[in-house]
Amino acid sequence: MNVGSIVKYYRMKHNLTQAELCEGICSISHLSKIESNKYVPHQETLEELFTRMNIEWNQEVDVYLAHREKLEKFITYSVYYDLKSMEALYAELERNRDYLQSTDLINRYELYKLRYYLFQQNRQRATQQMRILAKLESTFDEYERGAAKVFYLIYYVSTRNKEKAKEIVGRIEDSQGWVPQLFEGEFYYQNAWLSQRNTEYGKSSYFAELAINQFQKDCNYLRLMHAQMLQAVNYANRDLYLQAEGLFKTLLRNARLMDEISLYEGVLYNYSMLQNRRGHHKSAYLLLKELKSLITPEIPLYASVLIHMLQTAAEEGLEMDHLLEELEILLQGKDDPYLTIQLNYFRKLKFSQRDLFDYCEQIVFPFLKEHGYIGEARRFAWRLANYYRSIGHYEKADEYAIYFYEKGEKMT
Amino acid sequence: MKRKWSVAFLAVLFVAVVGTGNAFATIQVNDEMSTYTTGNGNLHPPDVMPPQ
Repeated sequence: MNVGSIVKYYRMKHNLTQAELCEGICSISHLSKIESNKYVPHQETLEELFTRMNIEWNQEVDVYLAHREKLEKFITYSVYYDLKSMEALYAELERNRDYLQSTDLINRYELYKLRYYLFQQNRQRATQQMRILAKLESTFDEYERGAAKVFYLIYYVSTRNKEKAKEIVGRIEDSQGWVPQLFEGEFYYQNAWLSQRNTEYGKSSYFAELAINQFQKDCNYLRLMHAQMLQAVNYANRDLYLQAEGLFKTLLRNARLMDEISLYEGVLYNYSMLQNRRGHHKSAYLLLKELKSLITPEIPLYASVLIHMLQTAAEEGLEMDHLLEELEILLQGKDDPYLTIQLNYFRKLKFSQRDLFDYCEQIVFPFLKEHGYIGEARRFAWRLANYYRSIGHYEKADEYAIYFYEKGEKMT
Repeated sequence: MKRKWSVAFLAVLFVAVVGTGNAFATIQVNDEMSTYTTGNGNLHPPDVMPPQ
């Protein structure tokens, strides 16, 4: 710990000048060196300085250690996804901000705050925090550098700064990049998350497996479920149906037991997607029905569920009108181009195939491509490529096939 | 002379085979991806991801 910073903190708090504090104890230049942590003072000098400010040095050490412990608790909460405790402790830490910022705990304090803002999805404050950390970076120790890498990765992933995120991943993957043991699972998890969002399911599987193993070792059960969810989606997208189904069933059971409502809903949704992919549309429809009964139209997921139900109904030849109506009502007064496209798509689906293909090519595919819906755009590219191949229009078929392959996983 | 030609022929054959091997390697398509279209070919929103 930097004793000098603490001396300075209390001197400022007591409104003392350097001359007033050191009079009869040591010289001003000596005190100034102590305060800037260039010189470690003798125990006696220190005690005399603190006595002048009516502070007991021994107690001061305890205060420092208690703060350090609180900070560690704070970040451990984040690793175990205990957001409520984290929020409570954040308020307490904020009350002691001046103290923390005056000691050498400042780096960790500012670093951990970044993680907190990322959980809160408060992008503005997170960006602000990144600027503060950039200034502190030169004073980071090895542990802080390792932790910073993980948090920066999360920041860049959440702000969709793909290049910066990849740069960090590259840095961590080589032998020099080291991540503190506490954050190992978190780091694998974030990698799996990033790869999955980029539809690189094989790569995401690799990291998700590492994350699952690490979380199991750490008895980190909430994060374990999150990692299993990622893995199940990866399996589903790689057509490993049995593995995916096994994980989804486990997740449904455990999410319900642990009262993780939003996770339970997410699992229902993803599981129904798997069932549709396998051609088990009836099962998918039942899962979606259960999900629809659990959520209200205000939740963004509701629209996705409706669309998914429409798709399932179309596959199974079920009645679609009431779903189309509901989607129309949901769209009223909203300017949501994505939902509008979905609605038109399903309306056209009921009438003519020719019309549908034109619509897909002229409106849907360009829209998805432009707005980064990679997975969906690829599916459309594949269908359009097949269509053009079937009518002997090879140039166009190639164009779409190339998009499909280029956006897929690279074989390395 | 005949033997010399056959050696040259074999050498050309070998180079050709090695060449195609390399050429195939570079244009190898990504067959890991699913081309399954039933149920999957439709437009639907992406999977729900767990919290970051």
